[in-house]
Amino acid sequence: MTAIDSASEVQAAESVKTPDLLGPWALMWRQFRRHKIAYFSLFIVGFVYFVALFGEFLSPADYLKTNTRAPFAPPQGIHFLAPDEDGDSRFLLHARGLKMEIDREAMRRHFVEDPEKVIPLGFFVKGHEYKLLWLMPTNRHFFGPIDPKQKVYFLGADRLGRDILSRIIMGTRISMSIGLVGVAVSLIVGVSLGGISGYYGGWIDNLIQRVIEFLRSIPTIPLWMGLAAAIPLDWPPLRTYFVVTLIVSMIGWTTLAREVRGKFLSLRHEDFVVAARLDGLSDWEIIRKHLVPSFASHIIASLTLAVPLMILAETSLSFLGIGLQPPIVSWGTLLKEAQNIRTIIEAPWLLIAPGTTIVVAVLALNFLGDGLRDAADPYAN
Amino acid sequence: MIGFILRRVLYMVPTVFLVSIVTFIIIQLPPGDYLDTLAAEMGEAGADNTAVVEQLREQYGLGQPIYLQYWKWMSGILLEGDFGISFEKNLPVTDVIWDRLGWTFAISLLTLGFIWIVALPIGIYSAVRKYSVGDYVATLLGFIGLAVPNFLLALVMMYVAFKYFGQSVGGLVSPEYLDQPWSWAKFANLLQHIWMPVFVVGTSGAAALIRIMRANLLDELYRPYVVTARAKGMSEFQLLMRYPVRVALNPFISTIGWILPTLVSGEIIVAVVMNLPTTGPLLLRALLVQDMYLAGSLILIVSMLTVIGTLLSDVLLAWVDPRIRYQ
Amino acid sequence: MLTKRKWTTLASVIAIAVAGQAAAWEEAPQLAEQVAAGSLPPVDERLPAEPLLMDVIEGPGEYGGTLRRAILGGGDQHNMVRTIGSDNMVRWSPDWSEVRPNIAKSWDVSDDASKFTFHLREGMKWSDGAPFTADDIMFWYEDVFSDAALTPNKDSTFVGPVGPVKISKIDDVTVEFDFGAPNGLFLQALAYGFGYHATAYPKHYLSQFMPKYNDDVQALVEAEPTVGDWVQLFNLKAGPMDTPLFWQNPDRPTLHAWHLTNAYGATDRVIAERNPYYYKVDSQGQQLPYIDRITYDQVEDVETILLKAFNGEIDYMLRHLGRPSNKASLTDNMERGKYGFFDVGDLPANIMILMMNLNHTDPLKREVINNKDFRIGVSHAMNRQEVIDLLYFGAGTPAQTAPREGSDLYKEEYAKQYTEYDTDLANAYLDKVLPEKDADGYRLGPDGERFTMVFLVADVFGLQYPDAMELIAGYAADVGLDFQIRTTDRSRLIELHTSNDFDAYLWNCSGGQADAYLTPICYVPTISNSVSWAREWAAWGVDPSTGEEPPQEVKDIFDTYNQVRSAATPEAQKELMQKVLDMAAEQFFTIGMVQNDPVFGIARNNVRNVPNPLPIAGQLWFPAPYTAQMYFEGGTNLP
Repeated sequence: MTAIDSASEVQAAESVKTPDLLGPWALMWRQFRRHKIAYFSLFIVGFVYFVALFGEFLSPADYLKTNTRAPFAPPQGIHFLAPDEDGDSRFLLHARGLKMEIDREAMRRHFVEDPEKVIPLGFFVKGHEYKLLWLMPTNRHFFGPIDPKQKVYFLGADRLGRDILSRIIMGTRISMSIGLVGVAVSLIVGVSLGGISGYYGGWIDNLIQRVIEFLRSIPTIPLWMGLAAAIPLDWPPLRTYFVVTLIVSMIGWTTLAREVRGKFLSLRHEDFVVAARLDGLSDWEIIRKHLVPSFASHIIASLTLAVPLMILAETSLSFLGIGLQPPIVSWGTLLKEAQNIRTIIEAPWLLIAPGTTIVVAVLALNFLGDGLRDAADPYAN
Repeated sequence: MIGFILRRVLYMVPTVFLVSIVTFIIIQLPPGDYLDTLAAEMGEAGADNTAVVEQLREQYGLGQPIYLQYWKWMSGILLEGDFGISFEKNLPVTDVIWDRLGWTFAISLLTLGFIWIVALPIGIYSAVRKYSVGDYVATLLGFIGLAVPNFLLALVMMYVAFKYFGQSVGGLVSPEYLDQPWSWAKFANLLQHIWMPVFVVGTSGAAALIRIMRANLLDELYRPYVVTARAKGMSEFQLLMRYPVRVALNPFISTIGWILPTLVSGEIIVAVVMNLPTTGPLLLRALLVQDMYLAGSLILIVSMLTVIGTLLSDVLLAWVDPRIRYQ
Repeated sequence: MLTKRKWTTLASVIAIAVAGQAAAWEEAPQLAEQVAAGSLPPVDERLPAEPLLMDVIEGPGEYGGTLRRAILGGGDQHNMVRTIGSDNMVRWSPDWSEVRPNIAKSWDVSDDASKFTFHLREGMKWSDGAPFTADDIMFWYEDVFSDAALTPNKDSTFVGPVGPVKISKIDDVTVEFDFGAPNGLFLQALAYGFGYHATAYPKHYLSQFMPKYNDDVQALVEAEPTVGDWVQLFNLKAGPMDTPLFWQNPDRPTLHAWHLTNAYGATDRVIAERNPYYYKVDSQGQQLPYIDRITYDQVEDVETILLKAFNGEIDYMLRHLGRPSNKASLTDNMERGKYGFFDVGDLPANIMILMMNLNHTDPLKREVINNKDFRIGVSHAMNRQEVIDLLYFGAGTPAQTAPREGSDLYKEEYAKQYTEYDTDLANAYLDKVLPEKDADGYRLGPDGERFTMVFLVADVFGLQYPDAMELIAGYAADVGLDFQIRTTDRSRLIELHTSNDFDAYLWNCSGGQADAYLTPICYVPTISNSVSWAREWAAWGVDPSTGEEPPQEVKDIFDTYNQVRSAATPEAQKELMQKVLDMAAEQFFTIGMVQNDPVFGIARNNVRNVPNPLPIAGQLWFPAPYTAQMYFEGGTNLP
């Protein structure tokens, strides 16, 4: 049988409509949808990336704007019924103003909600200027106080009176992109090295395995600290951020490489690979056309599971005070700022809000990856 | 089998050599050296002692080129078992670390035990009752364990212990027992404290292992031999325990390999927050102040133990599952 | 010729009077037991013939108790320095107003303030019971201080305007310090922390590490794994007090009230036990210290110290705790921890200063920074009150780097010039220097590129500097200046600024009170680890063959300050110092932001004789000279 013949046969097989026979992706999708939590997580993850993209539009305030009237202001609720002039209640989306009292002796601020002071809220309100998707200058925000001079803190404010909700939203972009970029790096390095290792075997496999073993035997934190401390201080924050991302991705690729290698090892003597080789396909073609598609779904699942690891790794780096420089905010830096007794006692929302965000995002990503992995082998059972 | 072990031991040599070089480079990467830290501390006294610093720089041999420093360090270790000195403590590194390594081992073993005890039954249950409510709950708890940053959990738990249980916080024993000799009372006091770090460190490890256990067991449960055994009327429990669980146990054995680096590195932060007398805070401090022989020796020892741990787990794996040996 | 201006304080008169009654001294029960068991000589033999009658804060106390503190796992040696380490020849009074006798019972000063004769206490002993005499001071002077290998660079306390001090022994209890030229500030300097050198070198112990006294020193060198020769061995055994070395050698006898029993850094708890030979007594003849021992529990994280305080596990501490951000939670837990607050007069010239590099290596940046209008413009752009309100709950005042209100050098214009927050005024000044702006509204430098300054900042002193820097960068942006923030750690920041490799950084500066005389580091260019705003000029000031020649105005400041150092009388010193400050204020070297209100420390409710307010400063290592007179009411710790 020649290569041309086999190709035309495959084409012929595809042109026949067989509604009962689904392709592997469709089968996987069907399997995936059965995993309810994973399916639900897909939407959460989608939402999180949406937030990352449209951060400025979604944040009610400028995440860098400080306010002397609101350090450690507690979260303000959204109220629906406001009293009008006659004393009757009518429907009005609003928040209640906060009154601040300073206890100078104890160096503490008290906030009391003032039911008289109604701050009307609305959708698509005017606020600070920004560029939507880095292109379109505008000052419209999804939700917030109708009067741009008013301040409302839906999740409270930090020690400098900055809006925590806006900071979490802006941090989403950094944290999620660290996950994505880190995973991309892991993917490239891991798949190529793992592939080479598994496909060729022999001394090259041995070498790569030793390198991986060696990398895994070095405790990660010293490795990160050494690398992060070597970043020159005069680099702009954005470049520092990319380097941090690279450093974080160093944990990811070894796992992936091992998995890919394992898959290669088990597949390389399968009949279809042998057949393809006998057909005269080059190594590269075999890898690209036959091997990679056969475990692509597994890789996707592993990648999804790697993203949360990267996010957590970044929080650890931030805890150690290395890596990201202000004004860049990530979930990790937010958590680090709240990682003290004072915050637990005086302003627990600073810990709860970013903490919950991280947990939810990591949970969703894990469930998503889990679901993908379960669905990756659609022919099982 | 012996050939397998020998081969693996032989592979260790270049790995360890590489680790020692990379370790030395890592600790030299950040600009400056320990004496910059010392100079910064001395600045607090309100005057300058630059001459003292220069004098010490000579004393510690910090002016020398890096390859010479590496050679000095390595030859000391290989020939005399001398890991160099800790600049900050002015003691030989070997005097400083063994106590701490001991505690690290103790906590590692306890954590390992904790992880196994928790992960094994939950993982099996989760796989056997796939997509049941129990599976979802276990999965959720497991993932929450993975998702909560350890240091956050550590601080919150410490605060809760302080606020609601009135416990003295930080460390492994209460202050009144600190310089007492070992006694039953002190041991009991230790038990009151040690569960917290074990729990905090163990949660994420246990969560990961539950997931692995579940996945592996799922692979096994639908194999033909299981179906055959079931068809022959073997009880479900026996059926489960005899083969699938044994095969799925492999990842548990692998944990021996990675628990130590995880504990030493990943949990440095927990140990700092919880004030544990383990190697973590010592290593972090040494890295921060560039107490380089201390940091380097710790990393080296931990890496070596990891390599040995991996070897042990591989040998165990090969013993449990002969298929691995011949790969 | 010496004309004697004899210092006879009330204390020493009483001390002599009391000394007349034999066996009038009382000692701690703990020590009495040892005396009874024969392991310790009786108290009369341990105390010098004329002990120092200590001026206690409230009244005589009672013996007993352990002063519990926390110490960080590394780099926290000042924790011990400032509780037990500072106990010098002379000491500052508790309110930091005058110099009083301490180890020296009295002294004479020559009329031109070039010679100082100190009278020691007869029969005084080191903590191991060996006698302390003029020979110990001579040992330090001849074999340590004058030895180029051991002391390559002399501590400035003992260097006068024309060179290092010459010390001679008159008799066993009398030594003379001769500077060869007037050195009117010497007694003050000796009372500050670094004056400890003269009385910290026990000859009977340290001489064994020198080949001059010990032919077999090589054997000791070989027994010590961390050293290679006797110089290294000596440095290890006789380390400076402000390094961990000093606190890692518990064998070294001291004259301190408590003596370490184990080394700092090796265990979970450092313990300092009462020195049975301590030379101070109270008015009832009780030998000090009252408190049996001090323990320092090692912790790794400052948060743990806070929790320990809440739990009542800390008896007296201001270090790591006395920060505005901790006040509220400490207040909440006062009842549980059974402690109260005391005021701490930690009042530097300014707690937050924009140190811009006047000697920048980039000529372009240097030109801009050296333009006074630029600095004035930046100063007016700063909303200091907002920083104070946000970060310090209003506990501070907007001010420049200057002596504080209440100090005798205070002048309003030093502190208040250019502190008004006025962006229009700021823009007016900045327009004179950097008139052009780019499309984003940022000012352009003389080269047509955006003028950017990188500010280094480290999270030090518990003052939330990184937060402050974000605010400052915001104010700068409001007037078109691009200030970039780089957060780093303390040692790296210091390394960068001491190597003159920086644009600007945020730090504090001493010299707010009496210490302005001896540490005028923000008024006179000085080589220093903490501040650098004109390092090249400072180097020139020390040695004109190095560094870079400053403008005439700065040279005048150097000259005038040298006159201050050699002035003999306090009046002349003050007049000249005022001149220095006038000139420095005119130059406007650094941009100050905030002068803080006093901070606080905590003491458990039964700790008495606590100095309140307690002054501290860079070189004023308080409360060390006064810890010995603190006591626990009831003779034990509160439960």
